[in-house]
Amino acid sequence: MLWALALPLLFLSSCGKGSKTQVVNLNDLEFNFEGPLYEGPNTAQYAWKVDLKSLLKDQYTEGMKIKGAKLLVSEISDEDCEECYGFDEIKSLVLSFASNNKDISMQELALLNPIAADKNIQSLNVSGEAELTDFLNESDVYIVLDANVTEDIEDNITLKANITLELSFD
Amino acid sequence: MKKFSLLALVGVLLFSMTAFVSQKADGDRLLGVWEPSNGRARVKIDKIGDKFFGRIVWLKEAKDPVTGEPKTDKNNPDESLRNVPLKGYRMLKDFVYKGDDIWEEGTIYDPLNGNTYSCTIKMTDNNTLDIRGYIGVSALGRTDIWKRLKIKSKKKSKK
Repeated sequence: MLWALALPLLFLSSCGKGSKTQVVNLNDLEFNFEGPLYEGPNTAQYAWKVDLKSLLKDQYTEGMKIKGAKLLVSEISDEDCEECYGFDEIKSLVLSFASNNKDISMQELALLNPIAADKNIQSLNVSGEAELTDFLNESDVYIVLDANVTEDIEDNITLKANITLELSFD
Repeated sequence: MKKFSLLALVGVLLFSMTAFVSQKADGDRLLGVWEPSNGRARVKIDKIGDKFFGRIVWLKEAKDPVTGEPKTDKNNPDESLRNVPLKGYRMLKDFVYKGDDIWEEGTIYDPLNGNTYSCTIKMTDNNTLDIRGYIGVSALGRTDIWKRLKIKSKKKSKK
């Protein structure tokens, strides 16, 4: 008898308020690979202060938590920067997220190997399994770009990233 | 008496700050290029935020013997990442310096089988690391000894 009462309650709670989703863009994130760079993998990082209020605007509510986050698009460009080397010096690119929180492991999110050397904008292949939710509930996230360079370079390389995320929340 | 208390408080604060800064600097001793005992790879350890990570920067056999192409992470459990070049792969991740020449909370990835293990690093002297990978408890694991490489600086300008 009790089961008969409990079942409709269970059904009502699972059909409660659905999650909302919003697509947000992080544009012109600058990655500076400080020279000298040696042939092979080199790393640059962007310290991102996660500010849900400015990302979600009127959807933001005080104390809210992100329930789901996934990377939709990651584009790397060499446009609009001074003394750019372009992609003729780079073989591959990998984009990852990292955090100071010891409970959150670094995640590889997207890669392009080999890159299309004749293009100014490289669209990375996004991992279907990458889980970003924990990062979005942190205040500081390190966005890491690894570039595999083809030869030793004395100077800096500056690249820019545009990243599109889909966030879910109540 | 009040003056003495204030001085004592300032002293304690200064000591704590010095100890904190010194611990951070001690942790940075891990930075550099290291070679596992089998000599088949070299791993550069650097820092992202407050954590330490290690990337493969050199491979003895850099190319796949079958295809002749540079090796990729073909055993990665995430299929979409199997094209990540092995040279450059971040096989040590998320290490936190705990003091006493020990870095913990990290993982080590074995590209030969695509498995990730919990890992602890202990620096036994300035040029030697005990890298212990394990599943579950540290007692059930294997330790490898890594040696620091001295890297000569070379520069080549872009023409």
